[in-house]
Amino acid sequence: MTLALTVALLVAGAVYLFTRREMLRIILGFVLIGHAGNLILFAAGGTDRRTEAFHPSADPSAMADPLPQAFVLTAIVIAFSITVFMLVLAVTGDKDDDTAGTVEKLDVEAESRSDGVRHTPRKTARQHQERS
Amino acid sequence: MLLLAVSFTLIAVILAAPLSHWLGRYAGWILWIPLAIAAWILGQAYSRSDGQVIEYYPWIPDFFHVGFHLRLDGLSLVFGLLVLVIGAGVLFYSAKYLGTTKITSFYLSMTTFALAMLILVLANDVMVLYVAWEATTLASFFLIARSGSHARKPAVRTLLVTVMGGLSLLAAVAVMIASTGTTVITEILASDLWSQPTTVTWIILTLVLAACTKSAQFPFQSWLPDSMVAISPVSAYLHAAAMVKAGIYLLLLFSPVLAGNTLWLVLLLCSGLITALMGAVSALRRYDLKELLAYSTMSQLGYLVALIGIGTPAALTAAILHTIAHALFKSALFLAVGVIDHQAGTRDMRMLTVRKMAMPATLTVVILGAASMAGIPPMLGFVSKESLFDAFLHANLPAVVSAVLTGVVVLIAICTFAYSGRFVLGAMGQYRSPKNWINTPRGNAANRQTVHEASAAFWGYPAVNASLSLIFGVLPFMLSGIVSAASSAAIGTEHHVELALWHGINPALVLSLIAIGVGAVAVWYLPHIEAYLVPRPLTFSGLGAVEKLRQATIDVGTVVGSWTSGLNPGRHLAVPSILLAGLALAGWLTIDELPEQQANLTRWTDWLLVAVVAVGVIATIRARTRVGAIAVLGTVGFAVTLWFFALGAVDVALTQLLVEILTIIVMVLLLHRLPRTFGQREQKTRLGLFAALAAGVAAFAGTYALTGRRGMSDPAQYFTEQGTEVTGGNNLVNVILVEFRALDTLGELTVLGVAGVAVAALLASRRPNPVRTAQVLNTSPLSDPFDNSVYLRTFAKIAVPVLIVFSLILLVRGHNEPGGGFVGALLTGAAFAMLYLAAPTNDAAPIRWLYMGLIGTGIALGSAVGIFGLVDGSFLKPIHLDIFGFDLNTSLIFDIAVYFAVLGLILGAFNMLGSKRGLEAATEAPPETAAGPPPGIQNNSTKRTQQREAVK
Repeated sequence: MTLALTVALLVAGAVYLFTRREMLRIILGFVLIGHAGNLILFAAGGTDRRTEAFHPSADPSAMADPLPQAFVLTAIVIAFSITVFMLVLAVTGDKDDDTAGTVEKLDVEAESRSDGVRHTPRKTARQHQERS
Repeated sequence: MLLLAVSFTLIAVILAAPLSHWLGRYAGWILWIPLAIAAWILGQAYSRSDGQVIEYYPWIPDFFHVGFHLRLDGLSLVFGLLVLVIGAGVLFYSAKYLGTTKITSFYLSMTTFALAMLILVLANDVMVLYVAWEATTLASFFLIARSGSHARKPAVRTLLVTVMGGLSLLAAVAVMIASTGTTVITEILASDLWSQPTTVTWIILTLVLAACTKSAQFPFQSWLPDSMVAISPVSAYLHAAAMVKAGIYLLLLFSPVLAGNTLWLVLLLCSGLITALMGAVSALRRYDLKELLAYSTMSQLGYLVALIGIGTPAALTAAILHTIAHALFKSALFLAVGVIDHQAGTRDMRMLTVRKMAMPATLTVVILGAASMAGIPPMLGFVSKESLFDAFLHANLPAVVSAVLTGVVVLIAICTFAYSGRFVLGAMGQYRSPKNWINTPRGNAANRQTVHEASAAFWGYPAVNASLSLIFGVLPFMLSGIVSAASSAAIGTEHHVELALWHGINPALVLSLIAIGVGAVAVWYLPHIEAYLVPRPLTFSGLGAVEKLRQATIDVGTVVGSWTSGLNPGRHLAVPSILLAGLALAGWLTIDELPEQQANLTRWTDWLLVAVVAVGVIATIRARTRVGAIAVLGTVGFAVTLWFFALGAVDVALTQLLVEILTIIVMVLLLHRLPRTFGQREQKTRLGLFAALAAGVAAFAGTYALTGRRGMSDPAQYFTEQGTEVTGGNNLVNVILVEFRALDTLGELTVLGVAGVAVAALLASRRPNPVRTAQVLNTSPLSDPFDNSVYLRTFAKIAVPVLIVFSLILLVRGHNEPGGGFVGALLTGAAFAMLYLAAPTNDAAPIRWLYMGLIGTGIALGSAVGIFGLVDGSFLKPIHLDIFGFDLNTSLIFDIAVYFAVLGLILGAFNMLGSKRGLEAATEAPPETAAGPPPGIQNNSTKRTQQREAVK
């Protein structure tokens, strides 16, 4: 019940932030939904047993499920790396992190054409920098 | 023995890249040897057996005992020898043909192609057959595509057509496995599957589709001429021995059970004869010698397919004989065209007219090969064509049909003779254009030069094949044994063939003579035929159809992509949010009864946590400034940390706590590149609130309804009860991370590495936003970063070493007590973060380690531990080592790998985002705006620099 409520709060907050324009808010939404996902994993393991999963000191029947814990532990670190990546997205490119109104159509043909021409990536990056 | 042959071919693949590197194009002079040895081994294996060699090596025992099941019978011997001998010859030839670039890709693809074809013809398991089939598709794609940008579209079209056939073969394979329960080809052929009419119909449809795409049969013929952009050795191999012959092999393989089936007969006869006629007529219209040969291949393969359709012993024997004859003359001709192209600089027969072709050896090859193609005695092509006529005359069909078909075949044979003549004349530079055509492009008179003969190493191999066409033609009984063996396999019963050049005067000979006679007249009147044919192209083109299909696929993809192609992430994220609510609704409507919820799920302290989370979430969404939002987000993070503690997850809580701190530090590092406040409130607020409420309710309902209603899962039961016993570690979470699910963890390290690389790539390609310069009063204590950080610097001097030592303790003890690689690395990262925060300037990073190297070390070390585990049987298996009395577990080394990778990511984030060097080295920020800071307010950075000078 309490865990489900926490998850509900986090998801609602995340979805609300997703509908905002600023990339930073969307990132915060991601952080929140990451928390929600982790707590759901814990919920899947059950919340009735809450003793730490260390062997000789705890009774196996009261021990918390270690499997979701292992999943969540790595998930937290992965979520961190994704957050860093999205933060870099937010602070590069345009002058601020506003995401609205910049809808670009995919141009598949142009991309497939450009595939045919080989640029060395380093050169492209440098040209890009010179342009900007 | 068979595995040995495959291994030798594999050796050629392995040697291809290094030899190309050392020897350049002359690698071909060595690479042909393993293939030739493999061919010799095949011959030996067959001659020592009683007609069948079977070898089995387990591969996927859990799935129908799929194995690397090899079988050599007469049929696979013929095809295997063609693949290896012609492959070896083409490799030898290529040493002289190739230029100076893209050598490695050629030899690598060619040898891989040979390997794939060899496995294809030796496979006795439908799965192996299918994999090899697809491998040939890919190899041919790479061989065509490597010719350059003009080859891109043809290569893609070839791939599209042949992949479709591959999928069709997969369908056939699936039907066979599902109906018989085995993947072994001999067992499938012997099963009673073939007495079920519906299944057989499906199998025939899918098999014929697969074979027709591979062998370029109507209506899938278009890719073959299209693939002409590949270089001559590739074409020679593709047309003579590999690729297109795979389709023929597939048909012959299943011929014993399908011959005589009406659908099989109708499909193959129609497709084969239409292709044969179309190819032969088209060949009369082409000026490019190679293109002419490509259409000729289509036509000749059409013969073979039609013969297999007829399916009588005589027809199958003719098919096998003609396969051999075709492979010999077609490879010789393609390679000879390669020589001409190489020496003369063109292979257009109109351009060759102005050159003096002083190439006796090459032209002899051309004449011999073309004579065999035209079916002139005493070439092997004559022998095979006579058996072909004979097969059509004695087909198991009503007499009228048989007669009409024979007529069509004779017509094709006449065309064949005519285009063979045209080919020879063209190659000799004797092409005659229709009289009244004054606009025919011609070579420039200035190019009237003598084309000299190439070296013997160049024309040597084509000459061998051309001579074989002649020798086997004069002495066809040399082939009797192998053709008998192959046709026995294709027919399914013992069949003995006596090949001879002279069978006496019989209807087949008469037909041959008619074809030759009329053909000779046609050669004489070629300019007239051309004047009639060339202006009348086919109104529809298969190539156009494939191209339209390809374009339409791309167009549909563009439309589908445009739905989500916006840069606004809100649009992408709306989809899962709405679906979540939909899912909850569906669950509410369909799930009626749930198991009883367990007691004792909730404790009263939990409500406090809910309250903190609620406050944090509401504060986060209501925050007006960016720094405020980040600060209150921390509240949520710490509440979640407490949740983890409350749920008995110490390690997870520690990790969460440290990640929370690090996340906020990284955010703060970047915050001065974003506006201070969020934008104005927009109208969408109500919609957003509604969506948020819906998603929240759905998440609550889902979590409440679907959790806490069962006991511990079986794996969890196992881990809690026996985890320590099995691994010797007391910290079960750590034990799961580094031992039971170490592969998972290794994958996650890779994700971390990729994220680090992605951040670096992003920073290299996109400009970071300019820094918002903080404007503070000169007199304010805040204006001086150096003095400002005194406290932090002093504290860091003591705290950082302590923290690092403590983090190492956490790392080492992780197996038994709270800690481990993740927590340890995060703590070290936090210690370093303190150094970064305490640094008085942004100009240089306090820690200048190679963060990418650190990530790489982590992943490499983790993989190395994994490979070491193979010593004891499986990847990543932890091994206990006893070193000088210490019990060392390799899982500790794995944990150290985790430590390195995580620390590398954190350091990378700090260095790339925090220091000036990382973020702005490549892209210097634009100069400050002309309007300088107002008097009394000093720019931070200037002051900072001065301060630094002072310190020095």
